[in-house]
Amino acid sequence: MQAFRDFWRRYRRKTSAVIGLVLLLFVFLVAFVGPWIVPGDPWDMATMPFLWPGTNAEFPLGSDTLGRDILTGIIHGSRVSLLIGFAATLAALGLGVTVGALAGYFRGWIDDVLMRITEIFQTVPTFLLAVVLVAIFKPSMTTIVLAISAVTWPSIARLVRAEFLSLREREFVQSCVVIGMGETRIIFRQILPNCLPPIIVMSSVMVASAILTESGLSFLGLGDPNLMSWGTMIGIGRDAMRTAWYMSALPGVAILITVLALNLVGEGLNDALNPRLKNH
Amino acid sequence: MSGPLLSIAGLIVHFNTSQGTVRAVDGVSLSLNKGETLGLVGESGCGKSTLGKAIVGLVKPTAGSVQLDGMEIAGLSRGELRRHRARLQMIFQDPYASLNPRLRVGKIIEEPLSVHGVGNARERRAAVVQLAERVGLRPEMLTRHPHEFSGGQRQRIGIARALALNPEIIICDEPVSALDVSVQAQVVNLLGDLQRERGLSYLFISHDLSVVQHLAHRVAVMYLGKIVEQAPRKSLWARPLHPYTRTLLAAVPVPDPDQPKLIDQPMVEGEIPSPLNPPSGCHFRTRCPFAQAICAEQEPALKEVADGHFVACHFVERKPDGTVTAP
Amino acid sequence: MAPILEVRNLRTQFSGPNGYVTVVDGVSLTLAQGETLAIVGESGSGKSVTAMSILRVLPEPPARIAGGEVLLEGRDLLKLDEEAMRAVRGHQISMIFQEPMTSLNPVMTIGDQIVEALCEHRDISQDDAFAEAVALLERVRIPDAKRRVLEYPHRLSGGMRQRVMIAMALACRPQILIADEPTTALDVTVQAQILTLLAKLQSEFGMGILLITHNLGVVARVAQRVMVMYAGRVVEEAPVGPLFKHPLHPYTEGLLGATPRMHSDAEEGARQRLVDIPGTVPLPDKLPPGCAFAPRCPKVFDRCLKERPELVTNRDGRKTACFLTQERTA
Repeated sequence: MQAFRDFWRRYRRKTSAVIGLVLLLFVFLVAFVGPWIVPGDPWDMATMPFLWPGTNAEFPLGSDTLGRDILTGIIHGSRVSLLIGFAATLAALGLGVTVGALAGYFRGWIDDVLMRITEIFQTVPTFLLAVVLVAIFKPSMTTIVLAISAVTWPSIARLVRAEFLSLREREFVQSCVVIGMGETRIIFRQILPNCLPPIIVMSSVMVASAILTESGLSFLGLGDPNLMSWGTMIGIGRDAMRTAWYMSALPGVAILITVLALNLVGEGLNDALNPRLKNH
Repeated sequence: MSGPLLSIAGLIVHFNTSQGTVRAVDGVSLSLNKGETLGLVGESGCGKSTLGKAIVGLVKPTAGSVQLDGMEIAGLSRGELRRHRARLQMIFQDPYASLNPRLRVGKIIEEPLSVHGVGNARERRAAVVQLAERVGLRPEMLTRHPHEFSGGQRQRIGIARALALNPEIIICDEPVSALDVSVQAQVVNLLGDLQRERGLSYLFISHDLSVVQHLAHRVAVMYLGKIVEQAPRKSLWARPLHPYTRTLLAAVPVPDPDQPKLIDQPMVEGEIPSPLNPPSGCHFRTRCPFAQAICAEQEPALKEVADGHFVACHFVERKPDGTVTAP
Repeated sequence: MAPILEVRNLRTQFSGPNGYVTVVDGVSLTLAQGETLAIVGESGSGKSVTAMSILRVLPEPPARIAGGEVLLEGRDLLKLDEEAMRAVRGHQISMIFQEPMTSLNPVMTIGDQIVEALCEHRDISQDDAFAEAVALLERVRIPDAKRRVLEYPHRLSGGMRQRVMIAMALACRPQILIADEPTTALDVTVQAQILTLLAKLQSEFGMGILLITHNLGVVARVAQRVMVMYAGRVVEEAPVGPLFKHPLHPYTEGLLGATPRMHSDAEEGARQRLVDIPGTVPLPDKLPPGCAFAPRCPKVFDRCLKERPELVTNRDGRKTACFLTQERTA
């Protein structure tokens, strides 16, 4: 508890980090309670198409090319975007942490093999790879999450590997070897908790980039056809960009706020968790 | 009792680096008896720490043997070594790096017991409290994290952890060199008390000759991967024979204002060469004031010149009448 | 001999979460030409901060010099502006540190670094400065100086790097050299070489040396006078001989007892218990109300817990901050 209080004291020193956290909590609130406040199916053609925002009190953000309510879309889309962002990050963490930990702890040929594989993934442009993967496996929530995690895990693996390489040389790890502790326990109970801070920081930024990637895929028409995400909405608005720019701009603002919030939080976490800055 | 508790023979540890082979430990033989402290002294880069790590299996020996009570343990896998862990423990140099910052102190001391499945949770808890009290920590400190402790207290935690399995041998790798003088004395005294109580054997690795003189029964002096002199404490200080040992002894600053000021003393020049590329023959010859041609050509063997007194120098000789000549 | 450096009542503070904390509290000292004054203490004693305050090289904030005077030939350095202070640093007072690697620029050859230091303080051509750099390296007994001058710091051993630092520090013939744990990171044989070198250079140039160290053995070998610091204050000051033979303050006594001695007859004294001072040095923001050493002092009595003893000169000219010795001599 004391540790958390110390952490919070350092975190809140940075105004931008607090703003980011407030924004992020707001986005979460919208995702959780929004669909109750604004019920209805975002795919419903609720009103006349091309309704500009502010012209009809019932549809404050207007409607799209087929008369679907944009506010409903943004609120329901927040769930999809956040879910995909977090699920993809979690999956990437699972793979990346395992690969990085094994490579960094065992070194030698295990490290060589795992790192060559990692490099293969890193040499391919990530977004293109995601496009190809989704296109091959049919767009759905699951394939999108897997495609995004497949292109993002290498950076986690590299980070964790670097942390493991330095931590495994620390005397407290050697001391565990000397008392006869098993390798699994050393890796997961001794070393891993010590590299959590950089992993947490990186994860927050990865959620943001996963949301962007999902939007990009949906924009290209590679989103889950059954789900209304922010990217899908921008994709829909693309055809009317010149006449009704608000259709793309409004979900775009939602993405901007979420990604900005995640980045601000990530930066704040970095300052609060980075031991080098702790003493100031 | 038959033979020494720990005996090391022809131990070699080489590391391959991009710049070549580092000959960290280059053929070392030592033995350690029950209840004895063997001091291992030398300057940085001489390989003394690597030797300690090779003994406990943290570093894989390239060749040679390490026998614990007659059983070979060098080159065993970690699983096979596990059975012997309880008998052979280690205390580390850096009291800040040697404790996991994320664990509570009680947990840190308990780990060796839980790893080896000693007792149930309640029994282990009681054992931890007892260990903590023995090394001078109060039971209520056990719920804190390492960063809340001073260097000396952390070293006590490390000692309690090493003692948990009731070992017979403890490799002490510079355990007091990171501590302030007054705290260093506390830890040195604690180590001495524990040895008397439990009949522990220490391999005490240190660069500080005065601490070694204080604690050790026998002393081995290491230079560039090799033992150059080994003797009971008394004979080493009464008559150091190897030129390097003499250099080392003369260089230690002693808190005695009556000893001659440094400026009036002759000084050995140069520094310890790289273990990547040690000089041929006798490794010390590049700094030795007595070096001759033979020193470059032939490596001097470690030979016994007096009772238990071993020296590796071409110019130290035992005469037929038992007297020893030294350069 | 008249002192070249006189520090009076120096107080240095660091800002902490609960306001300023006094780390150096009323330290006074004098240093004469050709003299070596050692400041000894354990970590947290304030000895390094004292040295850095004299040269004003502490980062401000978080540090601030809250009071006192630092008189160099009568001129108060604490009143100088930054530009005037820069002219003092390296020119009249130089400093060397424990870890020479961090004070040397890793991407410049040592020759270039010395040349730069010389041109900073003197009107000298590049060629002359380079020739002088070689001469300086020769003076600090660096073998093969003409070749070494072209090397980068990482190619040199720790002892050689410290020699380079000394060469740079002495480039402008300072009157005072502050040496902050100059040999702590070095091996004993190299330590002896560096200390010998410093002593020889001192006898050549006649500078005053302020030696900061935790090692009493080093003090005994090179210093003429000693100041013992504890928790930011001077607790004892004396010439080396008397201090080691007959320490007055219980802390000094404890430090000497805690240092393992080497005896030529190894049996004598060895394997006896060392004098251990229980506990640890208190943090500067958690000092006890009376004498800071009282909680660890074997001779503590009531007065020590309530009142703080001042540093007082005894009849024999020695200074202590302890009620016991003061009462004895009073």
